[in-house]
Amino acid sequence: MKVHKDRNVNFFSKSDYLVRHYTRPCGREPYPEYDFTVPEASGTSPQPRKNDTNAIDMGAYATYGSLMVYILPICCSVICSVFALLLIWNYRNLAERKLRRVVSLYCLLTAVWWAATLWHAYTGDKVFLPVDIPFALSFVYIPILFFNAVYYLTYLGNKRNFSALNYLLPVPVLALLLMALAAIFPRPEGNIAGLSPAERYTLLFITGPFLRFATAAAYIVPTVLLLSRYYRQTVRQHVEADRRSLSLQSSRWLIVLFVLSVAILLIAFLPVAVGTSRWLVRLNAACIMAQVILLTYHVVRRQYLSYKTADSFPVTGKKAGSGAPAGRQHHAPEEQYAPLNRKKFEAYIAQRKPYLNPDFKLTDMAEAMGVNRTVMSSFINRTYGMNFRRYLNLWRIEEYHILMAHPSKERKDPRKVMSMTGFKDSRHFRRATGLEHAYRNRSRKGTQTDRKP
Amino acid sequence: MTQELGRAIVFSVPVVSAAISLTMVLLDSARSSNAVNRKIHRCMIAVYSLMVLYWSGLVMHSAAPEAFIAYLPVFFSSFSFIPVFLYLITYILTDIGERQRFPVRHFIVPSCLTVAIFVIALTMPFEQRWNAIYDDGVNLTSTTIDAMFVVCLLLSILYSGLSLLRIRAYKRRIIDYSADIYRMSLDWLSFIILFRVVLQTLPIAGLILGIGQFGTLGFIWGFTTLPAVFTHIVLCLNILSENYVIIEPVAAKEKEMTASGNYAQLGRQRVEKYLESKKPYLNPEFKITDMARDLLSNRTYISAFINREYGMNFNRFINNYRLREVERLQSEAVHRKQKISSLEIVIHAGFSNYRSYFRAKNMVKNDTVPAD
Repeated sequence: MKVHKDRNVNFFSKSDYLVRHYTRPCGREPYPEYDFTVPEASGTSPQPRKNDTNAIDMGAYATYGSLMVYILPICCSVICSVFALLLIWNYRNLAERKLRRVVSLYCLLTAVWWAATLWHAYTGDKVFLPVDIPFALSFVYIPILFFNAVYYLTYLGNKRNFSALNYLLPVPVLALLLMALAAIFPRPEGNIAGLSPAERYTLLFITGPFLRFATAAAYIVPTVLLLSRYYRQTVRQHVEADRRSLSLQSSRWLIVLFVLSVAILLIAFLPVAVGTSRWLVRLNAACIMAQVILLTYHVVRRQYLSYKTADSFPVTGKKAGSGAPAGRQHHAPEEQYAPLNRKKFEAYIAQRKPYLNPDFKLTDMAEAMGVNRTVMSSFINRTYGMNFRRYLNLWRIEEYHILMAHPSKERKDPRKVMSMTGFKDSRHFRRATGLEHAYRNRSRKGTQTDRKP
Repeated sequence: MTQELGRAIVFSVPVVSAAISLTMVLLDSARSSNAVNRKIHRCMIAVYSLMVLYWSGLVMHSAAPEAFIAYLPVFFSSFSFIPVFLYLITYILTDIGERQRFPVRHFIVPSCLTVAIFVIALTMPFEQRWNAIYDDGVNLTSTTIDAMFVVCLLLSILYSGLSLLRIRAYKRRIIDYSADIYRMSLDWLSFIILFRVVLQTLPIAGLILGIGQFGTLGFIWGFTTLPAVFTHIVLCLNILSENYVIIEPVAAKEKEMTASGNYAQLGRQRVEKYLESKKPYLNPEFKITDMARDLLSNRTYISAFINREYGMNFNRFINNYRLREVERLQSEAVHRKQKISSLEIVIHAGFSNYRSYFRAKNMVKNDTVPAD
């Protein structure tokens, strides 16, 4: 390493930019995967004088560009961390608070990782930098924090807490591993003579590419396991809850997130195998930004199932709220156990008009009629020959036509009327009318029966 | 050189934060469901795009002066439109049920400024514009640009004032409409508006108008952009988590009912029975319109009724019920020797989060102390 440094000395002294060229030598290199080259403009242009405006332009702009590759992900992660941090005090259950804390820490650590990379890129190639210890720690803890975040994102209530061992174990294990390695393959003392043992091991850790990604590789498996279990469970819940709004589709982003995180690790690892490239660094930065923004957005918007577990209030709560699960607007009528018949059902629909509520579900209907979901569903299927959703939409469409025909609504915006009749948006409306049209055509062609309820 | 580079980097932090917020709002706009939401999303996209343009102008000012001269019209027009669009967002959020269109006249002044700066950019030679921005030459161009900058600043101060007035008027109305203390306060919006005026507009005015001292401060520049970053984050966060309550307009049916006097008269007993048996207040988003629908009455009447009979507004009235529910659940938990976190109790009682519980509690406390 000393030799390498000497060889590069006069090269560096040519330019007193923050940025320097970094040629890849044949020997063992401390951080081979970070390419610290700058665009040609700044590398070749002579040192600019103050009064030469054009040179300042070029130099400043090029240096700015190359610096931004590192600074953008740092800024981005820090800002996302602040996003998650500001949300910590506005939580609905404890898992949510923990999730936000973890996401905030994860973003912060990503920022530390890139800040350390930046530091390495722009300081001389000293053997050991003070920033190396957080750098090494970020390598160890980023995958663990990611695993933890996924754990809370896929939290479905009845699980144990995230075990603290995940955080406590890696460092001692790695330290032991490093000591063993150092004992087995003793390295020349030359360039690490003045270092304390801790620093020496950190250096050893960082210089070994396979060691560095050891935790990442180790944590991919449990993350995949968690995700697959989550999907199996959501599919089951999905079937049970009769297409509730939290569909499987809305949690597909978790897979994208996971793929991104694997991509980040791969891109960070690739230079060891194929050599450095400026584009790899840029690609890595872009991936990091995309991942962090995606994660933060979904945490802010609560696009995960876990917050729903707030409903699982213990026995006391259930008793206290008897029949009023957090403000349902449609309540069971008095004659709870009367048998379900068509007349009563239609009277309920016509009088209460529950279909005006866009969130009205089969379970609400069943609750109002005092029967369970299956009975309700099969009743509608048997009596009207269609599923609940289509039945509701029929009522909504009818209401829409009535409202549109009403003289006072003549100059009404069809969109407003649409939302008044219980459609969530125009897309739902168009789909419902289109489907109805298709059904009608089919039945006319086929059995010539009117299927209107 | 280093100083300029540092300044460029510092100014790109708000660009990044605005761009992140823009991405998030764009991601979110696919799921906006109703017309008001769509409008808010459109406004947010406009505001954040303008902010990205504005701050990247400042980056160019430091890192690429020539590009900045060419960019100047865009920079100015974004700077003049930002306050108007922020006011537009405030306007939508603080609508008191009238659903008026946003008057077009608010866009007149910024568009005039935009046209003027484009005319200058097209007619004046490059050297003159360079002199006006970077050197202290006094000529017609530089004075016009300075004057326009002052106008922009005045605009942003004026619109902040207007927004604050609107928020105040809204607050007076909302206490009779919603019982969600946390969401209806809109404190974050007033905070953003005030923050913008005090901490952001003034220092940047210093830079453009060429007050010498600012140049020598060096790294202190780093701190002048932090408020901007912070406001970007707070604005995006609150819009995304829907931290606002929009008053629904009075429906035609409701109006008809009020006019004909064809609504149910209320008695204390009936209201209390309704609240105690159905417990609608357990829903954090319970509004007076829900109550009016359930009691077959109208909202003006109910609001007046609660004011008269109980001597408090709707918000206080409902939150009292929630506080009582919290007490009941707590005593029940103690009685059964169950360990339930207080958070769970508070949320189950219909508060949207812990903070609104504390606020409701403090309100009651402040109320009772002077009475004793």
